[in-house]
Amino acid sequence: MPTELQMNLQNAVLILGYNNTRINDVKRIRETARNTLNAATILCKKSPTVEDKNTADFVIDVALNSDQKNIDNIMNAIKDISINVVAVLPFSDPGTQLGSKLALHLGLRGPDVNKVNTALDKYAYRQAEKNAQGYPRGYKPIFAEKIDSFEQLCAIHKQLNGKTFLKPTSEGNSRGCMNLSHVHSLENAWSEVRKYISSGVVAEELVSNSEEYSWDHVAGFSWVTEKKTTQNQYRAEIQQIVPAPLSDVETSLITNAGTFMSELAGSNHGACHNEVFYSEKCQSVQAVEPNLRPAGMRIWDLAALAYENFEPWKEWLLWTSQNNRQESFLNTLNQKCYAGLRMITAVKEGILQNIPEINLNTLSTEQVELIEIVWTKKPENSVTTVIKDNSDFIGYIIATSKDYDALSSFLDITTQKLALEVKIYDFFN
Amino acid sequence: MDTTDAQPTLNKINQMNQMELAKFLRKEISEEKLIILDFQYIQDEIECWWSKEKNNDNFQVLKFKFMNLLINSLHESDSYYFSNLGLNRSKIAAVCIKNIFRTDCHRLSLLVHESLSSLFQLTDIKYDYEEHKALFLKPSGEFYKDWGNGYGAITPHSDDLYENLNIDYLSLTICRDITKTPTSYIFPRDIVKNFNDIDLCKLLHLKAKFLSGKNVAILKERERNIMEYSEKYGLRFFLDFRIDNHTGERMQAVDPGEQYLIDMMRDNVSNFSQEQSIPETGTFLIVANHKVLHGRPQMNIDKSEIGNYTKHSCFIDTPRLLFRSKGPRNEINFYE
Repeated sequence: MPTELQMNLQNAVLILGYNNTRINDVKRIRETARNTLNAATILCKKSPTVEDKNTADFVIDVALNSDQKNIDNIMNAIKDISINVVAVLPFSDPGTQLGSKLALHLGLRGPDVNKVNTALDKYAYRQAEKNAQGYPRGYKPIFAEKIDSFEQLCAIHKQLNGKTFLKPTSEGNSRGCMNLSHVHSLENAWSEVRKYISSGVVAEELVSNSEEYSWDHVAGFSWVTEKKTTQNQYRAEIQQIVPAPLSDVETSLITNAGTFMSELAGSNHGACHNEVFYSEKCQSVQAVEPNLRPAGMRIWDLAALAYENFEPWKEWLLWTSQNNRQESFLNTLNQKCYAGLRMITAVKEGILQNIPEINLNTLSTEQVELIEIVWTKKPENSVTTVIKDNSDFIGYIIATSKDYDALSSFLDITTQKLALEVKIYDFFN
Repeated sequence: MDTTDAQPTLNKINQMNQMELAKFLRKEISEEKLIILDFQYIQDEIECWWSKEKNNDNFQVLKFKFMNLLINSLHESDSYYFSNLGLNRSKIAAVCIKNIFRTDCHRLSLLVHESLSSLFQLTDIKYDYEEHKALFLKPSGEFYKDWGNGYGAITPHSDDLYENLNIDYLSLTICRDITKTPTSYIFPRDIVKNFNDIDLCKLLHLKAKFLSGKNVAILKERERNIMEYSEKYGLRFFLDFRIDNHTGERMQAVDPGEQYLIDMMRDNVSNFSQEQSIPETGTFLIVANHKVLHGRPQMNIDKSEIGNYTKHSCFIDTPRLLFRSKGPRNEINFYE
């Protein structure tokens, strides 16, 4: 393993942005790039912060859309420091657009420039899905319309018999998503989503009686992740387990759907996090959205825990730098255990006062090993019980077990216990 | 160079009896060391590079290029220390590098400082209420001791113990020091040298209140243990013997009945001769903030001259100019 000094600052990987608070994953990419490719890390994003500068070896202040001027800015900056780019990593949703063009420009692997728009624009994906020549077995396209006005929202809501789901076309982290069967009035829903209208909002038929999964993929390795969302109007993701406890037939249906989605979005066997609904009753799969970047909520870390000798971050870097040892993009993973992450919800609204110090060993059981407790809120942060998106949780835990049921129940009970240990100053008492 | 013995877990330490624990603590603190490196062998290359690059005003580009120069030119035996400071496995508490450059130029000093701090994985933290980067005699400095920008001596301490965030590393680079006033440092082993087993073991549970001082524009305080153990970092000490003109003793026992332990340590700090760094242009010192305490004697300058320097203090003519960084180790940490 090269030390910091042995790293060659003449080679570099470019990271095209990062979503939300995933700066720690940028640190992980930096470490992996250093150890795997002996390369420095350059972070490209608009208005980099001090933290960005402290995290990457070099930062380039650039917008992430695919305008030629952005490519020119990056090329000029890398020329200034005489660096050889060995990999392009689109690590944010907007970054997929610039990343695909940049990879093409530099002769490196990246998403298909002609299809990549469907990975950013949820309506563009629905259009591509609608126009596809055929579908894999069990795959059902979803009805969707772009909306620009309140009147249009009302008309579509009526057409869908009140079973409507609203999504901003270009937001992640469940931001702005809304199940209209849970809202008090369409006026309320409209006032919440109208701020996204300029960048686009799509109304889709609400998928019911289905469970949510994701098909996650990197460089020919793939797995299915079980996802649980909150049951209120916002549907924030609250739990993930890798691999999903499904039969071979079910896994195959989702894998085929995920592969189909990644082809529509032009992944070229790179990183994919394709979200789907699976109905056991109908044996059908419906796409939520494709993402041409590593999954959030530590899914790649869960996969590294669940499978033998699997390092997804390393595989991604090897793929994009064209250094994969294997030629095939159909690789098999050997399961060791189930690995799960569950978010912790505050028990009441208020200001977080104190977080307990917990010894992980005291909470692990014979069947389940608690791997991490992470508090994402700090003392003096305000906390809420109304979870609109992932940033409203106060933390999460990661645990592993060979037994799915034991793990599932452990995640549920332990997060409830931990939530009770957190001291919150109540506004009203 | 790594310590090969497996490090005991916290649980194992909690199960030790008093004699075992005292023996363990003494062994741990006796092994911490300061490393002195001499970069004379790349000084000419650095000076030559700077003469070509000094008109480049893009600091980030300069820093990247300079780090590249260091990476390509340093001996591997010197680069080892970049990723091993302050860790239990290495027992390296501080590294002092001399003869890095000889030109008295604040831009070059800052560049060297920031580059080496990054290579040592220091994430510099800037608080809005503290001017922390450049240390030099500032207005009213003649009236203060225990302040980095003052004239008086600075009693040994670790930085920022009143903050919520742990400062793992502190680095200082000398741009100029015509006063020849070194940074001094003292190891915890010297501070507790005459402690018996009972008092030494009590330190593991001793809680103190830490107060901010003249260095920050607001008053901050925090209660914490003065000693902690972790497998990764080993023993870490949280000690501050400074006495502020306004807030008084910066470290006070929470239980007055235990204040005598702090007083005993304070006596030792006053009586032990402290080790000193090299007060020359081109010296870089980095310490693991919780492994070794740092301070400074009174500035070697005639008191009657100080007013001239503090009245119009600026980088060009101040007699002693240092750059400072302080912050946590840069690593993946999902807890932040």
